[in-house]
Amino acid sequence: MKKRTFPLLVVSALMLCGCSSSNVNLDENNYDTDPISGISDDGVANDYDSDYTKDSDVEIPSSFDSFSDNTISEAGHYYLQGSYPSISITASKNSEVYVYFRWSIHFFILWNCFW
Amino acid sequence: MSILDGVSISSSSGIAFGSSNTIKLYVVLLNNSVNTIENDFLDKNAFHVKGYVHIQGSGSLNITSKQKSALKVSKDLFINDITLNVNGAAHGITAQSVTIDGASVSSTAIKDGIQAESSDNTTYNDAEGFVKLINTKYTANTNGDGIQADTYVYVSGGEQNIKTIGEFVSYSTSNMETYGLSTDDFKFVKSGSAYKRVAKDEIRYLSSSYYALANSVKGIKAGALEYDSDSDGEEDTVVTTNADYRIGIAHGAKLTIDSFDDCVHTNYGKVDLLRANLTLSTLDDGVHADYNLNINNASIIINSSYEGLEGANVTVDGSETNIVSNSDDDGINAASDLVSQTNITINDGYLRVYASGDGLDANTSLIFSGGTTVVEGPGSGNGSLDSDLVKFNGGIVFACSTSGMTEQMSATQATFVYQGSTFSSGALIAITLGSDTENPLFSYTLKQSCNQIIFSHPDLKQGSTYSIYNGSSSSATITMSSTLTKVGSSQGGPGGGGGHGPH
Repeated sequence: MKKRTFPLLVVSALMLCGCSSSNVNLDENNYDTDPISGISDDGVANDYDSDYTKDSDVEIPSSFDSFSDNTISEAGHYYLQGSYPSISITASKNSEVYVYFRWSIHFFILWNCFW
Repeated sequence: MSILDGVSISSSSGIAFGSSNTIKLYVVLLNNSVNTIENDFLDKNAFHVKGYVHIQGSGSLNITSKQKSALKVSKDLFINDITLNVNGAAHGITAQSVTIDGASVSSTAIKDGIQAESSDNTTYNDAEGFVKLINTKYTANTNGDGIQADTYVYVSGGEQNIKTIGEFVSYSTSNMETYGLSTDDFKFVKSGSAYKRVAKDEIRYLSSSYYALANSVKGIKAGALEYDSDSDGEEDTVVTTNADYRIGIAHGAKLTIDSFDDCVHTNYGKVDLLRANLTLSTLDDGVHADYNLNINNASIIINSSYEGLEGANVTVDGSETNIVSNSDDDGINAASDLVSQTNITINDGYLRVYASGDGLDANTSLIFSGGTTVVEGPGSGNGSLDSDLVKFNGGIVFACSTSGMTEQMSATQATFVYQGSTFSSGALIAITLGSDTENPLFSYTLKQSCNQIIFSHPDLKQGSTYSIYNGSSSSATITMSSTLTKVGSSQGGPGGGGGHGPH
């Protein structure tokens, strides 16, 4: 399994600047719905971010383990395609089970070629 | 051809996809696949794993439970990158903790859209009971809370759209028992087909004409852990030791909430809105924190509310802060049953507050140090600024009302209080040095009529004379006899009076 770690947030100093305008016109829509578009860090990360890092890359194996009777009983990598009445995972405690879902577009093309 | 539907798992006899042991499960949705998990069986979740679950990939997953929660994980749940649609007869998603990063999630639920529940209700531990949404698109339509977390909620970036709808029940002892309600919950009255919040002190004699929400239907809620300390079947003790209940919305998160109940709410906790964009509509509070509410470089548009922003101490910072609050009661209220000193501090930003109650209400102190604050609207019995002590130390303040309450004020920056002529709704008000209408210090079109104006500005100078223009006509002149000058019929101060505008 290939892992890639992203440092989620880099805390930078927040630069605050004061309101310098002395002549202010607050007529209609002057500042009603002006969204804040920029995304920058502002110190909140310390309170909330903890040590979470994104981990979303899983290397897909070239072959998969088999299972039967809709039951996955061992740690391993399993490929699911098509329809099932249910999937029950009975692998032992703390087992790492990988399940891959895939839309069978190849079957779809094959089916249409011959039909 | 079922193969065209990707993986399709459907059960009418129990859990559709699940584990009986505490495992670490990785689900990978390959190649933009579209996958479905659903069940229809009494008291069984569709996807129920007793362990840790990480769902990721480029595909989408639709999970439906017609009789219980759609996606339940007993430990920690991580969701990356995928498109996830859940539809639950109970919760949409429920886990010990929920972290969603870079995904698109839609939750339709009879209870909470996302729920994070701590395993231990007697000890605060923020390693669990939290919800994190990071650069995630989240859409919720719920009859419970949009997001509910035992410890904290953190939303960083992304776009979130939450709509909650609640059920109202009328006051009766049986409804109190059935729904676990207290008398304080019956704070709504019916107005036509709609419901309206009223002040608790207006409810003198509870009757069936008062209503409560049958269950919590807040947009985002965090805290607090409660437990039954005396085993009488009632949760009677709140965990406060080492507790840091909190909601943080930051890093450009764009959040829209339309909620019967409070839009953003912490019990025994704080709320931080830091470089966030919020658009809120509610029958109750826009944002409520039992402790501190910190706003820094945030845009908060409250289209409708009972009280706009409420916290024990409300602090507004950041030159990019932009607040527009519409409320039936106080616009910004510093209040809490948990602390005795409650304050509002405006250090920076732009605030415009339209309130039928007090504009800004702080029991202890209301301090202006910077920014631009405009308050409009309250009528008799309320004030634009209501506090034991109002301090004008900096910034621009324009507060107008009718028959406003005269508060204890102090000023290190020149400030005047004018009371006299009535300015009508729609009037263009300009405050000028003498008759210099070309360079007004301030101009503003009133949305409501008023006869009291409180104005503080860095360019006001003691000894100078200023005019209040109503359109092209000067309605009043104020000579700044002291740093804090009071002028007008009910103030008993010097000066004041009408004038003529420039031609």
